Formats: sequence, C-alpha cells, structure tokens
Amino acid sequence: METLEKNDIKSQFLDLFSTEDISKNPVRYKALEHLMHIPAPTTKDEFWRYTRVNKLLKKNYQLPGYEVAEFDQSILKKLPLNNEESTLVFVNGVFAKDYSKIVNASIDLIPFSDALVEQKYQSFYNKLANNQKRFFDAVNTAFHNSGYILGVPTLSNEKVQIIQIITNDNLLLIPRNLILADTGAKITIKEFFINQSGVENALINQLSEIVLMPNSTCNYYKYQNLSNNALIDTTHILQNQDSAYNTHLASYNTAFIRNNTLVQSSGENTTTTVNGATLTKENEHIDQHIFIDHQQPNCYSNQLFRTIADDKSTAVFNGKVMVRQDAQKINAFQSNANILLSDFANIYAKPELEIYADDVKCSHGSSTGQLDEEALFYLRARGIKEKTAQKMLISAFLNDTIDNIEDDTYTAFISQEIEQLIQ
Amino acid sequence: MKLLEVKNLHAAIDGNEILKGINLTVNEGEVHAIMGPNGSGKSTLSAVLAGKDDYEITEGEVLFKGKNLFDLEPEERAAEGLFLAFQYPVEIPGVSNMNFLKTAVNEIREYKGLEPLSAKDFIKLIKEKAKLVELDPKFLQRAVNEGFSGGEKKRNEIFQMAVLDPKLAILDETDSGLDIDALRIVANGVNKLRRPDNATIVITHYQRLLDYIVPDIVHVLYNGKIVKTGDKNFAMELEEKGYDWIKESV
Ligand SMILES: Nc1ncnc2c1ncn2[C@@H]1O[C@H](COP(=O)(O)OP(=O)(O)O)[C@@H](O)[C@H]1O
Ligand SMILES: [Mg+2]
Repeated sequence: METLEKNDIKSQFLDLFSTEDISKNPVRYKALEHLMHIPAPTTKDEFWRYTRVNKLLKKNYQLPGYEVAEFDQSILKKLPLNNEESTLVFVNGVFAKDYSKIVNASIDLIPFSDALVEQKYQSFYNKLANNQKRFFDAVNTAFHNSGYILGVPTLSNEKVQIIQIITNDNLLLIPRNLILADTGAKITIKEFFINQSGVENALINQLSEIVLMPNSTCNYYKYQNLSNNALIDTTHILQNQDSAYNTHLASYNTAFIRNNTLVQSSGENTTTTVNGATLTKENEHIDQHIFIDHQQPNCYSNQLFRTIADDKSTAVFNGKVMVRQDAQKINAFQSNANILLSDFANIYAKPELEIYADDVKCSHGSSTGQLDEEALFYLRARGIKEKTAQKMLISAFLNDTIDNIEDDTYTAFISQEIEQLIQ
Repeated sequence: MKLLEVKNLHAAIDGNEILKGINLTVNEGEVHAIMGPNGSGKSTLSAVLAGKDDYEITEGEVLFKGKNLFDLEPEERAAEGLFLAFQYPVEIPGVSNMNFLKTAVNEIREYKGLEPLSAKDFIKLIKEKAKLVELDPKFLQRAVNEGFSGGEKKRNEIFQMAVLDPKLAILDETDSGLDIDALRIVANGVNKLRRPDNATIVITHYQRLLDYIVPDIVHVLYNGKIVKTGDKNFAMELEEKGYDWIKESV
C-alpha cells in the first residue's frame, strides 16, 4: 500500500478505519487499492465542474459508535410515515431495532452485512459500483458502515421506509444499500435523510445498487433535508427488460448535496422517470447529476427537474441521456427549468444528449429565468400581495415535479414543506 | 358619487407616449363603453389603471374613490375594489383556481381588517357565483386558465369578478373570442352584478356586446386620446360608419 500525505482525506479514512478489518474482506480491500490510484474529484473533472468537494474533504470526521444514540423523537413525528409499512431506522448509521419493523416476513429487509452479501446476494453485490473510476464509489465500497439490503421476491408488492438520522456533529456516515426486485416484483422506498436540530458538519457518502429483474418496478422517493451537513448520494440502477424505475428527489435545506442517479437500461421496454425539486438558499450547494444509458431498443425515459436558487446559493443540473447504436425507438425526454430569486445565486444547467441510434425521439429543454412577471401581475391584480403571489408561483413551479409520486401522503408532505421553506 | 377620475393622463413605454391626455370620469351606477380601433391604447389604459409597472406615467393623475391611485400597489387597488378582466388572461400552471380565489378573497378581507372566510362559507360563495356565469365546478380544481379555451378564459374572468365583487370593473375585450351563447352568459353575469353603487367600463371594438350590456356613456379612444363621447346610440352609429371618419376628423 502506498503512503499518503497528511491532511489527505484518504489518510483520514485509513486512520479512522481499521485497515486490518478491511483487508479481511476482498471486496473492500480491492476498492481500497483502487482508491489509492483515484484522486478526489476537482472542478477540472467534467462531472464535477460546478461542484467542489475539497473543502468537505478537509474537515475532520468521526465514525459512528456502536450504540443507538438518544435522539429527539419529535423529528420522526414530522415525517409522513405509514405504520403499516416496513421501516428501518438508523441513528448515526447504527440500526435502531426498537424503532424499526418488518411487516412482511417474505421479504429481506435487513441492515447491511458483509456476511449476508456473501451468501445470498453475492451475484448482485458490487456489480454496479464503479470503484476503478469513481472516487466516492471506491470510498463507499471500502469503508461503508451502514445501509440495508432489500430483496423483494417475485410478484410481491412491498412498501418500505428508510430513515437515517444524524445526531453527531462531524459524523462520517457511509451507507451501502443493495436492492433487488425479483421478476414482477414492485418495491416502493421512501428514504429520509434528516438531522437532529443543530447538528452540523457531518458527511454522508451513500451508495445504492438497485437491480431490477424483468417486469419489476422500483419507486424510490428520496427526501434530503440535512441542514448544515453534506450528502453525496450515488444510486446505480440496472434495469432489465420491461422494468420501471421511478424516482423523485426532494433536495433542500442542506448545505451540500450531490446526487448521482445513474441508470443502465439494459433490456427492452424499460421505463425510467427521474424527477427532482431543488431549492437552495444562503450558501447551500445542490447538484443533481443524472445519467441514463439506453443500451436496448423500445425504451422510455423522462427527466423533470425544477430548481429555485436564492441568496448566494448554487444549484446544478446535469442530466445526460445516452442512446447507444442498437437502441432504436427510444423516447427520451428532459425538461429542466430554473428560477433565480437573487442576483447573487448561481444556477448551472447542462442538459446533454448523446445519440448513436437513428430512430429515436429525444428532446431536451432547459431554461433559467425569473418568476413569470405576467403571472405575478395577474395574481396581484386580484388582490394577492406580491410576497404571497411569489410564494404561490414558486411552490407551483416545484410541485410540477411531484406528479410521478404514487403516495398521496408523501406528496402532500413535500408540497407543504416547500410552502413552508419559501416563507 | 365619483368612483374614478382620470385627469389628463399621459403614459409611455420605452419612451413612446401611448396615452396622450385621457380625461374620464365614472360615477357609481354607470356603465361606460370605450371603443376604438386596434392599437388606440385601450388595453394600455386598463393596464395603467390596474397597476402594471411597465408603463411610465409622464403626466396627469387618477383618483379612485378619492384616493390617488398611483400611491397604491396593484393588490391594494384590487382590495379597494378595482377589477380588470384581462384581454389576455394569464395561464398559471400548478395554481388551482380554487387556491387562487381563496387566497385572493382572504387577502382582500385581511386588507379590510376582516377575518378569513371559513372553508364552508367560501365554498358557498364559489358555488353561488359559478352558477351565475354557468361555470362547471370542475374548473375550480384545474390550474388557473391552463388549457382553457379562449371563451373559457373570458368566462373565468367574469367568474372572478363575481367572486371579488368589485366597485369598478374594467372589462377589456371580454367579448372577443366568445360565441353568441357565451357572450350572452357573460353579459348576463355582468348585468346581474350591476348595482347602484358600482360601475363598469366595457372596452370593446364591436357594438355587439353593447346590445347585451347597455352603456350609459360611450367613448371613442383613438391614438391615445378620447376623441368623442356620446350616449348608447352613438355606439350604433359607430358600428354603421366604422372608425375611418373619426380617424379623418381628428
Ligand atoms: N409593451 C409594449 N411595448 C411597446 N409598445 C406597446 C406595448 N404595449 C402596447 N404598445 C403599443 O401601444 C399602442 C396601444 O396598444 P394597446 O393599448 O394594446 O391598444 P388597444 O388595446 O387599443 O388595441 C400600440 O401601438 C401598441 O403597439
Ligand atoms: Mg387591447
């Protein structure tokens, strides 16, 4: 193993984690070896042009403990949780059994364990993560310290809630998730990343691998509201034929978020919808990165992102669609609209299409502007105060993204939160 | 009592003067019609009165209920009882008609120092007014004007007017794009809302609407000025002769 400079995040990782433990596990060890050769991304890196991570990586972090920390339970009450759904609660990454439950014994829903991976899920584990090239993938594979495995058998329909609560400052949380929807199965996951009030400077580097067998469906709704903490969330999705992946990202009120939604459509007739609502304020920085790789014909994908940036914040949208040579008859759509509420806010939007097939229908639209003046005047001319009118338009704009969510309680919750955030 | 007094009003956009000295007084109980060829400044006048800030007021003043109109924000003018039915109603995706109207009604009530309407009273009000303009209640759940036909948009304007119950309504070409049935419904709605203590300005360039909403006073606006004023028979005369003779005579 090579030596590392002090102050380097890698050396911090190595100090924090026991290399002895890691070397016992060939997958982790291999990723660690890769990591030695991959530099942390800089803005010279095409995919990280608008998002700097060096400051994040220079902070000092602490690992989770082994006990479930005490936490203020009122934060759970605020979430739109359904008592009839299987639920896993993690506090600082530690599985909190007392708050969790499984309602259906026929599914696997368990905290991540290397041992389990070796038995049942070996053929799926670590197949999508790209540890050779992606820094945060390699970090996650080598050092993951939380997460879950979810396996839903053929033809069953399951709803699951995952809650990750942060109560420690400077926590380094590295969840690793593996999700397998067997043939014809349907999985709906609501995932909540939240922090106890006042907690700051935590870094979360999550990686999920989702394998969708033929004819299966996965709905993944991500709620990211982490105040003064940072989240790097990478989701790799492998779609086999006739499968559907449908995700919504609600990203706001968080100092730093980078989402990577990376879809490989490797079967015919797949459907993919990736929607997101981003709202940034103060010095927040939220970056939505999407890559949909159409490798097979007759598929549909749609991206719908709406962004509001206020104060001195920065929001990034980089949605890319690739249509490979053999992937004929693809319908791939992208719609991205952004509104700047302040002269000091920044929005970087980069929709990309890379098409090698000739019989495809693709469209991408991206616009950045201010609130619609005509609409604003119309509302005011009916007696609505300027401030209220602005709020109505902002919330309508962001709510445009929530149509693909199949859970009314959750949808109402997101709408309501958005309304409160734009006070 | 005088509701609206427009005195020597001049307004410009990007340095081009569009209103060139308008004088107009509207009393409670009156219906005025403003006619005139396209491009005369009719919509500009209504937008200036409603408070659109694209225009520069270069001269003159406007009193509404005795208050200086230009001291009031658009929403304050609305709360004071000024209503503009837009020539081109704006589509607002994601905001339902219901939410829109409820917010409008309650913000106006707040301006007047009244408690918000209860959900029950609001629904009652809405239902009653929807009937007046024969509006399908399904419209209420839809986004404001989104995907509405031209006629539906105009009908929605009159519906909003009915709900907000203004002192002075300015209807900017509310008849354009309406078939004869819709025209009758709209006119009928406006007539039912007429009272001795409110007033209406009907802007149109067809006499047709004035068969249904009979004006007390008819003005012709041409090239930024009111060039002629007459009674309801004057509108008939205009229909017969067209506007060319006015263009020639000024
Ligand atoms: N936003 C604008 N910018 C430039 N010119 C305008 C604008 N709005 C109106 N005008 C001009 O002002 C004149 C009057 O327009 P308008 O008030 O719409 O007339 P009318 O409603 O009588 O048809 C026209 O010549 C029009 O081109
Ligand atoms: Mg006009």
